[in-house]
Amino acid sequence: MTQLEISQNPKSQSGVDYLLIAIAGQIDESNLAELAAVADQLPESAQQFILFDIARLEFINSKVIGYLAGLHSQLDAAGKSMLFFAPNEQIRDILELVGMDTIIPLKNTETEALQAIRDGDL
Amino acid sequence: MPELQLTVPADLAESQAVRSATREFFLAAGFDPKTAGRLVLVADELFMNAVKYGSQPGDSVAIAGWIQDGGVQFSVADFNRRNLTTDDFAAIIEHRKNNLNLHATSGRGIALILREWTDSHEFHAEPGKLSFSFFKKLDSAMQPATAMPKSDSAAGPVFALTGELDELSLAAQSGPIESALETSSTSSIMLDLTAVPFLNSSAIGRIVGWHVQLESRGGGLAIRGAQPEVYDILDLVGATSLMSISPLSS
Repeated sequence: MTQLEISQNPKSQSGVDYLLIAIAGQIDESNLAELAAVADQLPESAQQFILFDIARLEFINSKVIGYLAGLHSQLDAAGKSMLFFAPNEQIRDILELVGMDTIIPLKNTETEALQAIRDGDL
Repeated sequence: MPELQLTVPADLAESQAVRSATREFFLAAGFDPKTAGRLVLVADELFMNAVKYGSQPGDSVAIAGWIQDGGVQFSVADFNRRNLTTDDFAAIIEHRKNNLNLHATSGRGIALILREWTDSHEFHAEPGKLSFSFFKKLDSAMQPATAMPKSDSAAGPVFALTGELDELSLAAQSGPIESALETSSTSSIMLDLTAVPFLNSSAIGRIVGWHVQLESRGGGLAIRGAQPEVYDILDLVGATSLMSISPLSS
């Protein structure tokens, strides 16, 4: 089974209340349900902004990208915004290839992500 | 000489082991880590498809890779449990390639990454076996030129790019474009891609970045002269819905 760790942490920093979700490991069809179990609760979360720390995310395939695009639509409909930060080179590569970064903001650091929220760039 | 011969159970739970073995093989073959990572993703997509669509419980999937003609030949074969013919399979691939909905990325993913990240690919189906293979050259260095503004127009300066565009070759030509972007009065730019036969995701990412920058100034970036292959890939990644892109007139 592909290894995956997901943690959630409500935070308030720089005047922004947000839910920080850190993902570590690899995601594919064999363990996508683990991510879905967490993500499916997000439209009802107390926070408007969902930040995904993907610094330790090692692998995703197109199935996962399709799921994340769907999650973005669900959150959008619920009045919430999501973004990713700190992708490694491989993850950035595939997100950019399929144009994912044009619908879900991709930032280098948590600080940049918070700045984008304050600037209204979501 | 690195060589890969794997027969693994047709089980999605094997995916991480497949990725680990293929990464080791592509690195040993001489690819840089980034290219190796891309090829691992291609191999992963092929393996997943073989398990989901070509196999039954208890089946196995054969994976092979070897050095040939200055590159790597890589193949994934399943038992063709849907009894597809080569023509059936070609029709499925074509259908997926034309699915432009980002939310259905898993459908078009394999067609897109094969086209973008490999030099060639082929498939063959017969009763009891469907194999999908690709070839990737070990060296694909490109010689970039420098972009020169052709003329100014109401739509802003026009920059003509040449050759195949990737991160390095575009960076080598982008000096005049970056200079124009530093001028706050520049809100629109036209890229002429008449002499560009191919561009990859890094180049697209950079071009979209310029467009976003110009959009914040009330303008944007437009593209003209996109050759059919170039227009197609820009369309596939959704860039045609972001900015004005005109195909090369025939």
